[in-house]
Amino acid sequence: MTYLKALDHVSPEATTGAVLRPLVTSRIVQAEEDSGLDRPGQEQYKIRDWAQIVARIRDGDAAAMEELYAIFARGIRYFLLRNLGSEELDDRVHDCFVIVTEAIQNGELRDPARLMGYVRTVVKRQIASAIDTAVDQRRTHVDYDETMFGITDFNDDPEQSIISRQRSEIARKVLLSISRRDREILDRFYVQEQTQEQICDEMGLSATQFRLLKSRAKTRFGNLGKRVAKGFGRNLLRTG
Amino acid sequence: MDTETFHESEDRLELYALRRLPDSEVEHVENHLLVCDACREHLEEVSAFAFSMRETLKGNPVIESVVKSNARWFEWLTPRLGMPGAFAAILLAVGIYWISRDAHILPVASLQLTALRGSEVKAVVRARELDLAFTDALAASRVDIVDGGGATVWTGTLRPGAGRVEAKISQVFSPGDYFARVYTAAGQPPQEYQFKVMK
Repeated sequence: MTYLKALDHVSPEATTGAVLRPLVTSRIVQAEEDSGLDRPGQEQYKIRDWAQIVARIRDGDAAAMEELYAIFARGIRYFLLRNLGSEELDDRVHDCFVIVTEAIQNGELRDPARLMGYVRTVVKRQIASAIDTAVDQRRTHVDYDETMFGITDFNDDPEQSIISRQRSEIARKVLLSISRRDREILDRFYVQEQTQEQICDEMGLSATQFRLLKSRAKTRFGNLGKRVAKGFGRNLLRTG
Repeated sequence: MDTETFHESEDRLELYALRRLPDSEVEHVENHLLVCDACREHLEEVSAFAFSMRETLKGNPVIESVVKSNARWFEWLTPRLGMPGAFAAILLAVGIYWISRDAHILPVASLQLTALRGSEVKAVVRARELDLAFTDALAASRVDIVDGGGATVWTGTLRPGAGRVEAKISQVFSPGDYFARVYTAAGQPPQEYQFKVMK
């Protein structure tokens, strides 16, 4: 499976972008059927005219570059942060934009509809490059500089550890509060990695029942998490 | 409507977080996540739940076994069958108790009585059927059984038996003192026999 972490070197045009098409500028589309559309607090999803932005950047329009940055900066930061941690994060984000804008200006991105795919590829390359560098440096300097690169820092963050422990405790409470059958469903899905179809088939569930169970468990998980966040956590985690 | 107009569904985000989304869909999800704050935020929530569940289910065999053993004991009390099942079980138990108490557990008892006041009081265990034998009474006489408070609890007629007269009483007497009053002739005081029913 090819996720952002496992990347290789791909040319701009090699990013397939199969689902991307030229889209209408500033068209705002309302949520309709997909379950992801009734997301609380979400903003309406703006459809961009990539061709116009690419053309303007190619022409050296500084405003277009700012626009590109505004669209992608947070997403790029997110993936870099998740994979590499916070060290040199701003520099890495900047590097990604330099690569993207240069590729556009040099005419390497021939199909503007593939801009998103290309940005993704650039981010993947940056992550892979950073990991390669870290592995290489670790191999070279293992005796005297074990932590010179921040890959493990993010995961070993004490705050993250506390949050992780709290979440585990909340998950334990949620699991204790549901029936054995419901727990089996969650176990099959999350631990045994069975598909929804297989679980429903073997346990005589409808897709709706399956979703409802997970939704209830998630809601309870979220509610308990909010209580912890509001400061009731000590009692909650102690007494259950 | 163009597919790009949709946010990612929770199911797809969850599968993506768990690295179980088909390869063919990963690129689409990641492209969308690059430009969508709401879906990134949602991905964080979804992945927090999914990873916590997975790690807790994996790493807590004690919870699982405790919960499973408890669940096994109380499984029949699940909401679907629990209350009707429990009610039926209670009814069955009560029914068996009453039937057994009156018909099966208690024995048949017999007692021979004499009309000698002051003599030792005969005792008998609580029985589903009591055979009383009278050595000095006449057949066809009416007999009343009264309890210690003087209330009549049974009335019948003595029948002739082998060298005696007797009364067959198919009634369970509660533990306590009782008196059998035999009326031999009109206008005559009854002969009174005392006995005790033990637990």
